[in-house]
Amino acid sequence: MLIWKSTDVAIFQRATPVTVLTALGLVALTLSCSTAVDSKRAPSGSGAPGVGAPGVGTDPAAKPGTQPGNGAPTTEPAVIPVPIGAVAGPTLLRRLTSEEYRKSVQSVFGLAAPPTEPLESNAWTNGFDNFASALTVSPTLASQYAAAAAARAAKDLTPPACQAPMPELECATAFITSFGKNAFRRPLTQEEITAYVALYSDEQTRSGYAGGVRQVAETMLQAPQFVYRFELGNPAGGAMRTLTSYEVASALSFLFTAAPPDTALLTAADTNALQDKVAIEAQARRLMQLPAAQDAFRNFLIRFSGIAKVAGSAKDPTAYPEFTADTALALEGSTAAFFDSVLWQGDGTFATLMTAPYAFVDSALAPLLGVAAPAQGSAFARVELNPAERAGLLTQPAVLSEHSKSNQSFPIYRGKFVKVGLLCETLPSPPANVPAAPMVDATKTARERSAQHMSDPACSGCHQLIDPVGFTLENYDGIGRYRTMDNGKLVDASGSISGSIDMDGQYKNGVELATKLATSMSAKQCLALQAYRWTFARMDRDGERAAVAGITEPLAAAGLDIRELMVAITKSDNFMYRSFQ
Amino acid sequence: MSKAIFKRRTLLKQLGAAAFLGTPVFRSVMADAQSATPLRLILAYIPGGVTYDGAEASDTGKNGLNFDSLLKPIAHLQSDTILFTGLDNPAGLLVSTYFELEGHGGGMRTIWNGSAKGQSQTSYGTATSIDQIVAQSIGQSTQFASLPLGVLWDAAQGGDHSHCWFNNGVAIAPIAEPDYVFQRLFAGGSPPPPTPQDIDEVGGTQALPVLTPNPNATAPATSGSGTPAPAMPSQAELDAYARGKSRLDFLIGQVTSIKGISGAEEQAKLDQHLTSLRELEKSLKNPVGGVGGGGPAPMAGKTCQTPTIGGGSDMIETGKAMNQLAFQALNCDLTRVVTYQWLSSGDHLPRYGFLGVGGDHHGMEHGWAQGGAQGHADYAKVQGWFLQQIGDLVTLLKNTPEGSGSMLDNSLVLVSSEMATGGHDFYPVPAMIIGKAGGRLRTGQTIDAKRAPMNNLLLSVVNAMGLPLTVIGDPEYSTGTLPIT
Repeated sequence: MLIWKSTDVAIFQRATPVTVLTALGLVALTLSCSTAVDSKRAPSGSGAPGVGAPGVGTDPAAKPGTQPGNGAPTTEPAVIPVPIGAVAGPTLLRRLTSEEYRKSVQSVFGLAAPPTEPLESNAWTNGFDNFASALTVSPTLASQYAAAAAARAAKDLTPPACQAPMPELECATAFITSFGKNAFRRPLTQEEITAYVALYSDEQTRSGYAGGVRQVAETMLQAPQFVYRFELGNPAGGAMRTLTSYEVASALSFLFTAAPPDTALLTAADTNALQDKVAIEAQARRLMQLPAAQDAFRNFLIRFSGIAKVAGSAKDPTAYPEFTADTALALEGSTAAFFDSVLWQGDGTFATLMTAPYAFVDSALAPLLGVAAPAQGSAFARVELNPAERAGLLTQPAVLSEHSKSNQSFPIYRGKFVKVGLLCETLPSPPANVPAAPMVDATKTARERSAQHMSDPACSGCHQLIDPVGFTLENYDGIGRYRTMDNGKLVDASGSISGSIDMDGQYKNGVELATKLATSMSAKQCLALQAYRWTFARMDRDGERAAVAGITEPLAAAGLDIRELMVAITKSDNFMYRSFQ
Repeated sequence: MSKAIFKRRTLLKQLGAAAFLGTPVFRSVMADAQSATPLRLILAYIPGGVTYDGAEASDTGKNGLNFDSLLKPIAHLQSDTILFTGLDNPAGLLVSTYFELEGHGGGMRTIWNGSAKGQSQTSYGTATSIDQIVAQSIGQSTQFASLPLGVLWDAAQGGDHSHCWFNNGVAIAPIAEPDYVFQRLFAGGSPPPPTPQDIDEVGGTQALPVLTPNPNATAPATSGSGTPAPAMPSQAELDAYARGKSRLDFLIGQVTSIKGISGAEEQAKLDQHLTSLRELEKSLKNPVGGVGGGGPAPMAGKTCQTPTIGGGSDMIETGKAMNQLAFQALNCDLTRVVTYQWLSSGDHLPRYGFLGVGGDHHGMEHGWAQGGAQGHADYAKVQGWFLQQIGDLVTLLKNTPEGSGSMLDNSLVLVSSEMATGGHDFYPVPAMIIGKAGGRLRTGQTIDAKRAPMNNLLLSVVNAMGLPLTVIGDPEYSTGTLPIT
């Protein structure tokens, strides 16, 4: 079954009427959400992607091979024909995340570990912290870049010795060319080399050859060509662009290794060998074998699971005195180990991710799962859990704890996570001037407290879509421990889903829900959609869900191998093509 | 390689001990046509709400800020203060209750912008906090449009625990290292190059020119006269300035050229980048052009001094250093907008042994009410201590003459917290204004906000700073102003 096929888009939209762009993360619903929702479709993107406009002769970037940004060789590249109907997102400048910046500095200097200079934290939007639209260079970040660049250029740079009779200017030019290529992840254009030589010469009059070289390095480490990943491409007819081989190299390396391109990628780009899907796939498969791929996949799955902030999370100490800073850290480590295990020791499928009845514990986490604790300080160890009580991602303590309140389990957050995070449905905004949430009656169960939403007609219209989903996870308390009693009463973990594409029905408990999610086509397509957003650093635009469906379908029958999914995304049109707007 | 960049030891080496002895290093130049005294805004955040007498809080919304109890440490500022009772923060409630941020993130994200729009656990919304709104007007003539300071702010907590925001959903991280602030404001703008010894540690051999203090510049200024003789800049100072200027001009050129080849959606992003680089350029200290890149000189009759910051990295010492830095940044007119964040929301560490209090802040926030008289007293002690620190900074302003009054008369210090009582609640939010904003405010009163949204207080403040806006934050919560003038 192909759910997001373009012919089915109308059906899909009826089920999820508001674009995710505006609605991810909203919880409270009103009656209005069940009526007239189609009119609330928010504008998204600007026009259909991938449709080439007639020639843009005045476009300053239309002259291939000369713009300072795109790293094209100085020889004119062949214009690569774009397939008819290719889906292409907008050209982008992607500011490096703080982690990517540190890894890039590490790579340029060959440091043993990423530097630790303070950098502003990444801005989050729509569940991700790598979106191009949200990452900018603020005054604080500009000054932090300056400080980091100065420190590294002073400490980690040894200007290459310049031996007579080689003129210093030639040595400096050679440095600019080689250091610049490492920093900018592509060769410099002739204009850039000329500009940097002038910058060098200016400083050389003040502090000599070494000072001039240092000035060049310090400047490059905060240059836009370093702090942004360019996805501008070469003109390929009309508004269409084809990413340069160097841009493809960066896209691959940051996606699969969370770091700048390695030598093999840059070498391939040197011969312009990253312009076809076969070569791109080969590189993707090579990169996936590297240890750094674990970091990269973990980064994505942590965001997909909504637990990116769990390591710093805290609970109400009166409700959960046993939840310490160590617990929070262990939650992150445990889930990361779980991801690693599924992807690199297991079959790597979404189906396994959603059903695996095991977890990883250290001494801090074992009590939460009711298992014997390994020795203090030892690594996370795999423990088998009761498959009647635990099934995969949804029942991982980190996921349950992060989708709870600080002092109680909270069916609304959990129901919303399933609907929005795992099924990519969208929920409308709560109305203006929402009333304060009902007072918590400590003697009631979470389920009974939620009943207040369900009985109030102003709330029930939408809460009936959410709360019953969350009820299925009532066997887990606010920090993810399994329970059969809540406030002295037997837990009723039955619940239901409605308004979905293929998940409607009654569920006995969270394990049954997770088991069904594992085989749901809409859940698989949602994982693929989230991976697509993560890869391209933006929300999907109109029509792109059909492309995602096309990527997912061939993999779905075998449980959707997440590693193969990432490879498939690199073979999608959007990986190579852009539309200049 | 993983060493902190700004080592106090390094700084001392570079600047010489003289710079730390409170010696004036800036030429205070007679203010020419700028007879109008500058208006200043300080937004001060204290963590976790305050203690209330339970009945009072729930029945009438009266807050606990009164000079008989919590405010005793700043009772001497009573006539300069407006207290607010009965303030509500509905945007905070919305974000907190409905967007999974609990009280902490919900409060931090709304306290100075009054906006819930676009917020969720994983989206930052788009509202601008009032410090940035005000900085766009009164901040434009100073080196730093605004100065975000923090004391033991935990960067690892990220944006959810920052109180100020740009309009594109980017949290403004408070700068929590006094050395760094000192370096940027008072020692030339560019970060210190490492000492030769530091370089040796990593195996390099290249000796670098070390920033040396200019002996002439450290000569004592004639007290209060405003025009000491200009000092001769050293060659090293001149070179450092030329180097920094050359680099920034180059970077501005590069970003501009990339703007020329980027798509429509990227233009605003690159404009922001250019603004940031120009601000960095303004902070370069021009040795022949007075303070900084030629920003306004300090008021006539005032002596701008390099602050004295002591050692130590605990809360007490860091706080003292930040107070000095904030005060001199304002006194030297390096900025007119300061945001000041004490701790991160939900701080977990037991830091209050010096008050005889054993708990950590987060634990006390959530536990003081259940902790009986002891819990109440402990938390009141802690909150009183934070208010006292803010009072110390305000007192520095009050004791500095300016025009016919004091710096405080020309300032507006707005103090508030992300929650009401620490229980993830948003009514009644504690708030007070200290200072007269150029004589515009009627201080020495208590205003019952009658459950008006925080937005109304924020709008009143922005109006008092001379901006004729009519709405702050989400329009549905911006229902008017409060009678502070």
